[in-house]
Amino acid sequence: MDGQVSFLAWKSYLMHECIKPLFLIVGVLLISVSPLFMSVEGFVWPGLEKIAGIFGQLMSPESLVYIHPESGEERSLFPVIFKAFASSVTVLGTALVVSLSLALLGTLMLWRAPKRIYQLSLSFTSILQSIPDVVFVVASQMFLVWLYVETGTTFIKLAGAGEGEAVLAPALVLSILPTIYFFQSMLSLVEEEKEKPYYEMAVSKGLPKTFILLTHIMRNMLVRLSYQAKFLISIMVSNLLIVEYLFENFGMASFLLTYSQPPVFFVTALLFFGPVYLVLKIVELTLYFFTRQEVSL
Amino acid sequence: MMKRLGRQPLFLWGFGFIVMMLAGSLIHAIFFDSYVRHTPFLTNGQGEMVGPPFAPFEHSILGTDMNGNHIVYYILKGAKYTILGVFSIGTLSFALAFLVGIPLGFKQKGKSKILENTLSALYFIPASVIAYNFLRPLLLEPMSGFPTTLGFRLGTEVLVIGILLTPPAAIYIANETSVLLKKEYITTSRSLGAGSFHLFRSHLLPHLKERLVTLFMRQNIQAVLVMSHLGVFELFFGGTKAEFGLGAGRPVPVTYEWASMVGMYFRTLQTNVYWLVGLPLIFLVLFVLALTGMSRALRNVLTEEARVYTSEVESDLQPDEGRDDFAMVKKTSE
Repeated sequence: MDGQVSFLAWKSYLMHECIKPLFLIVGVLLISVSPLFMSVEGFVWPGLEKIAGIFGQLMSPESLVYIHPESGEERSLFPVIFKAFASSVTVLGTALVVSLSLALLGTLMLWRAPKRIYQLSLSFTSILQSIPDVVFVVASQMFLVWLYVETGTTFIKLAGAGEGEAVLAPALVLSILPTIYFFQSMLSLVEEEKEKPYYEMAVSKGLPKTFILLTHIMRNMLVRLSYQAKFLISIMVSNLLIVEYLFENFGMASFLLTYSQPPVFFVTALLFFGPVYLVLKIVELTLYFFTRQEVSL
Repeated sequence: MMKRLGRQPLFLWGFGFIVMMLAGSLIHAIFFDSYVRHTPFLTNGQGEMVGPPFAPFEHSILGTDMNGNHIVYYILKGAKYTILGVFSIGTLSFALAFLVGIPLGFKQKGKSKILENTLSALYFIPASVIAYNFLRPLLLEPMSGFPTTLGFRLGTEVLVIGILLTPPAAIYIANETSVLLKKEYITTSRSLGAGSFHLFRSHLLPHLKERLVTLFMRQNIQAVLVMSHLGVFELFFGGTKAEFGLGAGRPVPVTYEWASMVGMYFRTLQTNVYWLVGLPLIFLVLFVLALTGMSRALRNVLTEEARVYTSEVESDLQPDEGRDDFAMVKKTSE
């Protein structure tokens, strides 16, 4: 009986999860077609043939081309886009790892700090959060240029194309804002966890505080942090596009911004945001298995 | 309320900055016709000619760019577009979110799922990218010049960005509303015959007030964010003037709004002329900090008011918080 109920629940869950991406694809399609409705003179109705033409182009993805806006040169989209994809994912992944470990390190260091310093860093990071991400990106580029002018050597590669594309500098710059976000939420979550009875219990048992942090608080905090995964990913993605644009990397931003004819935009968005969606789903399922709490990311 | 607000230093600083910039910009536009001072060269003490760019305080207070245009005038010129643009985008998206979100919260869930799922694409594709692709045909100047007026372009841009920022805010309001509507006193009020409008006015609004104020400020900050992204992508608020042909320079903004100055001067960064990009950035940061400061102060005042109100009502029922009935007259030193 019980097994049947849970089976039915699983079935409806799976149904729901299969339908959801379809709506997402429709949403992405609507967004990629939307530029047709705007012209130099304002809103226009493009006519059905034009929209149908885009669908026709999407039917044969292997013959899709992207057009350079200035030279008008056409190149085939398909093998090249995977290179851009790899570049974007490398930068994004490095930044994610760097920012998570930096924030964890910071939390560990502040763990035994006096209450005043703890509160101060909490409010400082929450102020920093509201500053536009462009500011961090441009300011760090200014810093790198200044460093070059002062010392005459480049510590990390600033820009490049093709094989010698800069990866480390964009990744480091991209990790600034997520670090601040992670750090802020970790600090406030740790403080909330400290209020809970299990912490007092553990302290009164005489367990060392660092041990409590590493084994109990850290686990609970990471679970609660992953509830915010969707929000954090959306911040990182929009920051990634800025970073790629300003470092002139050949990544997804080139296809979403510079070469963004509607079919190209659609394919790129699906290729890029599909995996992001999958990762979120995996996080969601992992959370479900470990905590038995349903979350929708 | 106004009196309490006046006592919040954060509010005064933020409000003061915004009003000062706005007033300065309007005076500059009305009485001085948005004049931008230009210094093509200077002579130093030895009678030699020195060309621009001049650093801040060297010749002009905020320095000049490569062509000798004084940055301070550009900042003044752009202030009104930045501030009014951000406020109109924020207000529009907030109003739309309010009008959509409250009825959505009253409705039982189910019907809105389709819409919500389709809109969740907006979580994955950043609003600035959608705005960029949608507005590019309108805002990039074609070779024959703009066929549209500046007012039309500004209005369309405000409308588009405002609509793009609406869905998350509307979903937030809807969730908050439906959480509040599940409370016990709402059920009681309903069973006594209260209609939706009564519920909204006397039960929802007082509880939502604080969150709505925060949301309004958040929408404004989001508007700054999108505008700064568009500025970096060289799609300037109010239009991008492009030059054509050989030897054409970088695209130039029409309105000199602050984010567009960052985009315009970004390529000069390699030459270590840091103030051209740095100054507009500083002003943008100050603007955002002013907004957050005002939001915090408003929230403080609202919670303070709520506390005063409840303590007036319940003063004879509950002891004041933080004061025990029994307190030591002399505290032993800890």
